[in-house]
Amino acid sequence: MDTTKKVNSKELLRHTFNMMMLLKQKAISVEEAKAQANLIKQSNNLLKYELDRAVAIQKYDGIEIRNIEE
Amino acid sequence: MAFFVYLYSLVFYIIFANRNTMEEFLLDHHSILCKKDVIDYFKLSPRQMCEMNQNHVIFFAANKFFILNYWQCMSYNHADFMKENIQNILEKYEIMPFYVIRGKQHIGYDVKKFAKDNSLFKKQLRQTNYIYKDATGKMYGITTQTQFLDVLCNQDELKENYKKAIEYIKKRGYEYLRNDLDLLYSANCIYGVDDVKIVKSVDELIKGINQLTK
Repeated sequence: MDTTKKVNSKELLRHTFNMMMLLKQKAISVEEAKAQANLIKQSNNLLKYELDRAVAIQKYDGIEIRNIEE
Repeated sequence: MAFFVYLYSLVFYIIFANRNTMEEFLLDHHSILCKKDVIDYFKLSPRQMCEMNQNHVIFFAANKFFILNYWQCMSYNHADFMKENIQNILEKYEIMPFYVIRGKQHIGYDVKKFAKDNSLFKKQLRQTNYIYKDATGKMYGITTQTQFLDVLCNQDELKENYKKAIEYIKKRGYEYLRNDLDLLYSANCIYGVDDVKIVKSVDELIKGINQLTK
């Protein structure tokens, strides 16, 4: 298993699309697809949070939003 | 793959090959007209004179920038020589005017329709490998087909490689290649897809997967 894969929005998109294709070809089971979709949704929510945070910091001066790692 | 087989089998030796920088090759081959005998008038042989003038060109392949050096005797017409070389390296290529390449770089799509219609992901884009000018100064690009998803996902790596290439050409004193490098970079960037759009697209894809698994 490749554990050194980059994680960014584009790689997430590629992975999701590949998974959808595998599901359409019936190369993966429904359970596996569901589990992976849930994981991707969580990762995507983190990315959304980061983007919203960046927008908020740009819009409002001196706003304090905690870092995602904290 | 064919590109690397060609590159390593024919010619060349790598002057500077490091994963952290760009790669530079030397086409160490002289034309048959480039003789080693000394001509009295110059006190130099054509070979010696040729080796004082090395040509450098920059091209793009496998998401990386490469510099190719070759002796001047190999090309009387710089553009044609490079065009032929690049055409030998690439398997299937197409030559396009540069303004056509520029026009195809803006990718717009409807996020909502996106999970239902996956044609965008199967779409083929053009990767520009080499840009040259014809005798009238009009710019053309030698291009190869790649998948949209690969091009999109490799954008960050492309940016990194571009920065490395800028550093490298400064370090080696090839500043005059900067314009070609910038053109190649801009020709291989795609516009109109930002992180917000990508995140929304992933959401739509997850919805699509959930519908399929119901």
